[in-house]
Amino acid sequence: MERIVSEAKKKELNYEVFFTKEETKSLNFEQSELKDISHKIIEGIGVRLIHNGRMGASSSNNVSNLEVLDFALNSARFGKEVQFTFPELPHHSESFGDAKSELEFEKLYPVINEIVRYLENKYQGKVDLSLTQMKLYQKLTNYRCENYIERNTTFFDFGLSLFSVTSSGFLITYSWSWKKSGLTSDDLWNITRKMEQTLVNYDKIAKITSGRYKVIFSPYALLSTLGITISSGVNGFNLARRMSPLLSKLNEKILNEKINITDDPNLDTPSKRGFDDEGLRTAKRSIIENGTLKDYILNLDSAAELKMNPTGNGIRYSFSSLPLPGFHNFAVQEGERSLKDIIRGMDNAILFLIPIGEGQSNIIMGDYSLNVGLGYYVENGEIVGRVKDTMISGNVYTDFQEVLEISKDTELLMSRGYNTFFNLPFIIVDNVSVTTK
Amino acid sequence: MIEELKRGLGHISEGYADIRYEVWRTTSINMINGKIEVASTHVISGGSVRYYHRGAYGFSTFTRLEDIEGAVRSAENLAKLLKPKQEVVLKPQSPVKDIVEPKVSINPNKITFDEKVELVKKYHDLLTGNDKFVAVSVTYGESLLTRYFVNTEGTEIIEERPYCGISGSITGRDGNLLQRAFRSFGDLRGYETVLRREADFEEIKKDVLDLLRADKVEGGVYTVILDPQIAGVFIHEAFGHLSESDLIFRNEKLKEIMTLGKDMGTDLLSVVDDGSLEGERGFIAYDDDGIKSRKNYLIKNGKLVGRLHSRYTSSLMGEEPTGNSRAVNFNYMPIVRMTNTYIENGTETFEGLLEGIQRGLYVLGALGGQTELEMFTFSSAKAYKIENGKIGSPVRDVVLSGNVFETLKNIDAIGSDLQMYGGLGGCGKGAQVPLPVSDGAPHIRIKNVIIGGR
Repeated sequence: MERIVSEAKKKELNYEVFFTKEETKSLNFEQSELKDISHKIIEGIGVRLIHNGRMGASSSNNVSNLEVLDFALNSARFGKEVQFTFPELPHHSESFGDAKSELEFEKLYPVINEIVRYLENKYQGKVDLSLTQMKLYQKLTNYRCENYIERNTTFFDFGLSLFSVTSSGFLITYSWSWKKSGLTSDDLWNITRKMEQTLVNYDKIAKITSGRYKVIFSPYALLSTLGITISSGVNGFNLARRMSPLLSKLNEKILNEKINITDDPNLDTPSKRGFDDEGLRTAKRSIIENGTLKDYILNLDSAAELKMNPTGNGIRYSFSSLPLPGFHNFAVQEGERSLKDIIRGMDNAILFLIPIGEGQSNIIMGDYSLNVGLGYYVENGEIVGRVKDTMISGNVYTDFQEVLEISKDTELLMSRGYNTFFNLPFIIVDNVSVTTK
Repeated sequence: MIEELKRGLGHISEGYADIRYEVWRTTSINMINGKIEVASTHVISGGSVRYYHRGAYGFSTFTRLEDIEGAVRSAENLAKLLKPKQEVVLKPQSPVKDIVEPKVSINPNKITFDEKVELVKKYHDLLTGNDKFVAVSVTYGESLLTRYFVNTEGTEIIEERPYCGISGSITGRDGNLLQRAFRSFGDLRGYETVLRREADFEEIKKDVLDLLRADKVEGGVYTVILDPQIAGVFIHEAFGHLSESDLIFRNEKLKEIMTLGKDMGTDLLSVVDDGSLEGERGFIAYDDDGIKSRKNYLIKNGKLVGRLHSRYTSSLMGEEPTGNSRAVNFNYMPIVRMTNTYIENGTETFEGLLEGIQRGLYVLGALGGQTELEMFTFSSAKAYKIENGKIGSPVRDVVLSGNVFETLKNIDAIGSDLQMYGGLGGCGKGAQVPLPVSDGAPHIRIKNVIIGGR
């Protein structure tokens, strides 16, 4: 990287250089058996240049490859006119997680085998899982100064899924969680127990008819509806290109007043960041307040196009991609009662746990149409059986006006790699369209 | 290069190992609303080593060639670190030595960057000119891949794959309604693929205007006619993934459901995955296990006759490898994937398919699809009502869903106009996306499909 920075200086270029090194170690099981242990190192640099008022960009995984400067200069011949400058950077170094901690595969292997055997015996299914250690280093500099912003991120995660052929048909469920330091046997079992909570009366089928129902959207179902619609609607990229329905809707009520959404870069997840990937300071921002749209998610480019101030949300999803506007941590404010208490008080509802078919409707307009991968019918406060061959459809902007309650329980989900986390509760929505055979 | 890779494997005296090394030179040009958003070239190169020991792989990546030996040692140590419960012996394969050069009329690397920018501008301008079009986007994508493969059995393969393609999209607005139409073309036929697409781009304008005047579809159970593109997505999503044997090989109940010889549908139905179709987006001369690609029947005349394999899954199930072990790039372990998947031609005419449908939908183009084995969903780019055997007004937001086993049996007529579709995108499985594939079919008719709606 230094070689490229020094060459860019020599050529007096208005440069920005972003370096990442990602090291992962993982142990993977397929169909209840060890499949592989992997060690991967992915590193590379992304270069942006503002040349004759136009933007040029290139990238390479050979971090001393000077050719990237020529490619970026060539790219600037055609690039769009830039209406911003790279910011002056402070010297800043931040770290997340315990960099000294290491995954102990040999120690955890017997525990994993125990979990696999337990799930196989209890549910007559097969288990896929992965145990991963991620160490990420990112470094940003630009022509305005000699300073660097550096970030070290370490985290460990464990994800598992169960596939079983049951009397109610194929059953697939999963669970995932992460930690800042090495995972213990207890952590792995806790994640397993969390997955088991999705398996209640799963071998019975509850017959329902098409109609309108109260639907309890799980964090996964919420990510595929409210999560992607709002995160793409307030995204500066879509707003600047007039592709979002939320353009000129600031301070208008767009959802039920029970809904509050923030972008919180201080939330303690691997997406915690003091500065974004363009070098701007991040801050917690209220995006939806009591159902009213309060703010957008902008990077330098989209802010300049919209003639607004950038919000510190420029994210590079890899060294080779340009910085795009994105949430750090998309958080929906939780409610007061636990999901258990809420379900206990319901006469009937559909508990929508795992959706299939995310993002296939006109999501930016709020439309969704999802197959129920795993879902249950709730009757008189009890889960009575699985709902199958069923589609749940509607529009986020109209359906999420009829929010009955939000749970106290939340779940943290990872999206787009480690770059954005979603902290989501269960939300109960009235009058949702359900189509079934 | 091959010699350097072979040296890397030099010290291995027992067991199986292989090295893949890839050089990617990619070009992206994207114009949105008259401005070039992206016009860049990227160069990525690197490799990975797999070492197989008793039933599990050790996998290690490297970027610089001088790090190969370290990566081989790392993969060997990782493979030997833990002992799988079940020992599986990889069935030996005869060594292959081959150099595969691309058969393209115009190699994209012979065209200047400036010419490609001009092409994007030309198509972009073609899409503009209507006040309802709020966002117009055209993207040219090119990935020139050279891949090297060696293994301890003596196989040495060099294969070039010059992918190139173009896509266009329009977001249209009418009052508060926003709708998007798009088309994407991409394969391994060379620069010819992106030329003379004017008529196709004109169709995008028509599609978005149709969508803006379309009503939202009413949810329910319909008889549908799928056009060749969405029928291809259907067979890929609903059945193709289920044929990937890494989902089956240790699951006794699923193996029973997928027993070869079982009736899967009408005897009109034959389904193929064929990685050897030169020029198609999913063409591979060899897979990432070094196995030659071939035509594999999955369903023949309604009966299940085959499935897709890697060397590992075929060894475990006592079947032959099929050339379907693929990784998106050198940073990933190969897994069992499709290549070019399609339904073979039947004999019905389009008019014959329409006949007798009282209330149905004619569904065209595909936005995407997803499967969880038994259940699938996929969504159409546009659709029209069918009333009393005639095509009627347009409807939008048509998302189809069903149970694969029932739905295959509900295919009751198959047309004779097979077409394949590639594009700039690809298939996703696990974290590996987008893998270049193509899929296709003739027009097909399916009864009792669930359509979500209001």
